[in-house]
Amino acid sequence: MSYQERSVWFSLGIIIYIWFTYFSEAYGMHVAGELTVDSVNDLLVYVVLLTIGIEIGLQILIAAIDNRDADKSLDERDERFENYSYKYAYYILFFGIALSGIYTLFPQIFLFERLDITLPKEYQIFHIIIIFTLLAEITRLSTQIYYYRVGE
Amino acid sequence: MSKQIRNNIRRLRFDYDEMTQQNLADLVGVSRQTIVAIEKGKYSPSLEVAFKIASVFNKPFEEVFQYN
Repeated sequence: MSYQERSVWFSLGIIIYIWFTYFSEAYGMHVAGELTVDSVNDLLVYVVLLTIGIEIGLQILIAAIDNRDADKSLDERDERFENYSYKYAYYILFFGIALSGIYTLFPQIFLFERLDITLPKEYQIFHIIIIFTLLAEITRLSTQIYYYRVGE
Repeated sequence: MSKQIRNNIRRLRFDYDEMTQQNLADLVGVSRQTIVAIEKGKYSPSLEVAFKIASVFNKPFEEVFQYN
């Protein structure tokens, strides 16, 4: 496994772990009736700091394990697979942005009110964007892994 | 049956003083894993890399890569 592929695996693992933690915590707060702007802000700051910390730590670890290739830039295969992955991620991100725009203009066609979410509308839109950004990122990393494993 | 790009890199490495994949990768300027993927037919290199590989072995292009 190349340095780049290993790095992609770690990034995927980190993203899934951290954002699963975020949404499970947020859901727990929602069930307990403690989902407020302040609690979400605190959780977001925590998640962002955790992401940066773990990402830096793990990249240092991978570089230490695989120090031979750590300073090498992407080669053409890495770049080609990255380009494929950005294409798929873009579709998802575009859909998410379009959805959040529609929700801004026509909130009544969504069923969020039934979920009794106590957050203001801008936070709900922000979370739609987060979810689709997350899905786009997971798609991007998964696509790269797919091409590394299966080939073209 | 659809045509595929095939190559003789593995044999050429063997003929070329048993050159390692890492040596070839360093000469061509790609990672060892990319050479592995090319040899296995899991990755089709760009023309530039394909020509570089042929030039490392000092062989005509069509002797290294075939489309059949």
